[in-house]
Amino acid sequence: MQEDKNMLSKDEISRYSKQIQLTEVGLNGQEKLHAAKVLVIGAGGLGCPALQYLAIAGIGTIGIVDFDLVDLSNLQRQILFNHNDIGKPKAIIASIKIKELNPHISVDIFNEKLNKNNASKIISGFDIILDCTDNFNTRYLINDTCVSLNKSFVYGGIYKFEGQLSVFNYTNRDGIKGPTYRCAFPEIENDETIINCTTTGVIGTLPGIIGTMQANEVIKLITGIGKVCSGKILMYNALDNSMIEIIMTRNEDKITKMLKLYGTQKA
Amino acid sequence: MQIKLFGVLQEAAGGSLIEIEATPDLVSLKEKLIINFPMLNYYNFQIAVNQVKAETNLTISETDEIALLPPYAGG
Repeated sequence: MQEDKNMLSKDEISRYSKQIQLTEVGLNGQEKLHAAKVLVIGAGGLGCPALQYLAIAGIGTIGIVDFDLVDLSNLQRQILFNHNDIGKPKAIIASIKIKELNPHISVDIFNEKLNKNNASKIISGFDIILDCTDNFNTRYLINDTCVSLNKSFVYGGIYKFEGQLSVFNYTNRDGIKGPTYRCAFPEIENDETIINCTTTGVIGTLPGIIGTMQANEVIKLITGIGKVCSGKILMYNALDNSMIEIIMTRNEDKITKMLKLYGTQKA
Repeated sequence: MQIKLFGVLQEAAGGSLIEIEATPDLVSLKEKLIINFPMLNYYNFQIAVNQVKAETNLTISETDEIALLPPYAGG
């Protein structure tokens, strides 16, 4: 008899029992997680903890996009990797590690750089996207592609001891759409001002916290519990534990302009 | 008036909290910020008034909580 791949096995029900016990999640919520397809773009400081928690939470299909190789200087914060992985492709190693954490999940590996030519094709195969990248160009590309494909994406960004979190382009239960990354930060940065973890330092626990919060938003988005971090940016400071929320609104003019430009570039 | 800075802007202006002479609105605030802290001109940032991102030129008073927010590239 063929097993229904949408059904959870006995092993899986036992594995996720602590989640299923939560009345807010339950078996129904666990089945939603099992049916979900989540794409993590960037298997670095944010991507590693996000991938770990998404995998063990039982997200049925996880995609990993990363073109980079593991470097010794990554190991201070990119917790899926160890010294034996140095020089190996992050997407492939991360896939192996999360399959070890949870053999019940499927992992799609994209060992390539996200660019204008492949973004739509890769992103269109998933329900929810995580922006765990380390540069503005890719962040704008993720935004523009997700907006054009009508998908929500969970943004995480870090700088030294500070982190930002938001769910962009989220459509709530009333069908109202939340702001996008371009609504929050409209102008494209000058490349010379791009600062990431390779050009400045970062405390290793910070991407652990923000990446885990990104995974938490994904669980909320899929199961429909709690309040999604949409319509605001959460600002976290690891030095004084302060958290503030900056409220923002969707700017349809900016989105229309972006979509026109995006269509032109795609054509 | 006091302005709270986040991320890389703290280095550009030399602190997480800066003090400038009160201005009547956000346009004049930005002009004064660039004059007093010229390095800020090299960064993309948004202004929040009382924890709400400003979309237009708002009138402000000394009691308003003003914050400058850059996007964070790091991941």
